[in-house]
Amino acid sequence: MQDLLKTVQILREDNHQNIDASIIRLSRDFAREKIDNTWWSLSETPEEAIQAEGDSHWKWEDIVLDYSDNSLYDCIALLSPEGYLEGAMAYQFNVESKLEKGKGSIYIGWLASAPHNRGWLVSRPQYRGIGTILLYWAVIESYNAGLEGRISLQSLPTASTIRFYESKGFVRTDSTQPAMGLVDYELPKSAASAWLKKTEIYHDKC
Amino acid sequence: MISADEIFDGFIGGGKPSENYIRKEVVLFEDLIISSEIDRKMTRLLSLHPQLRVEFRTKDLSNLDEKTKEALLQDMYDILGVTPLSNE
Repeated sequence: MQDLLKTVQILREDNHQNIDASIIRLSRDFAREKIDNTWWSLSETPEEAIQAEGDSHWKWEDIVLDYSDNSLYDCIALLSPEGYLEGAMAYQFNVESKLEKGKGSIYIGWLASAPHNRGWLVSRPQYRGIGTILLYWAVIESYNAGLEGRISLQSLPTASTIRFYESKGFVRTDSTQPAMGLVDYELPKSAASAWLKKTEIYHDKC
Repeated sequence: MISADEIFDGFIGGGKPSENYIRKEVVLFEDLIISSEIDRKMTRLLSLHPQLRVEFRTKDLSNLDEKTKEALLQDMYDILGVTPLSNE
């Protein structure tokens, strides 16, 4: 049995209907069974395309183990009514903000939408915006932990990811791993607050 | 209605942050036994915000009743000025 953290709505690609899905705490068994052994079995996708995805070698079972030490680390996933994991995220609460000295931020170490939701890998993706929902979850977690909604991450600066980060108000901080082409971004308090206000579904208080 | 630019379906990250960015003032409560979401939230706030000071007579938080824990958590939120958003 998985820990149910919240019910959210996700958008089905084929009929544009919102469907209830569950955010759960990810266990090692679930990660192995429903991600590591499942996600990359894409019958219609060429092997080269799979290998080109930067996360195709990630082992979520190991990530869960690494992020289950204490209350400052967490690993969650989005479970669809069909019983598939549509995305997963591992994050920690104990990092410094690069934009506001002396303030804290959540750091997202690993986040992935399931490959069957990526329109560039499959002809008929199942759900859209899974990554957006996971990032929004991180903003809420940051806010509730007294970190004012700040989240930090590293990402490949592709045209589409840059557009996404800019639409949400992320600020590019610095490039700590230039050899890998990764760029650091942080969502500042003001942008987090604007995102929270815009997404009214979460405005009910605990 | 959200725009196409607000839809993200890829992956992010692939590692942990540099040790230089780990907050030194964060206190870990590794000896506390956490068995519920409310335990997790309390210990997280205590770890992240050193100005919150609570001493437990027991290391197993399941020995505290739910109402006590809820009141304690609410006090912490009040001190921090946080009105928690629903994520449960």
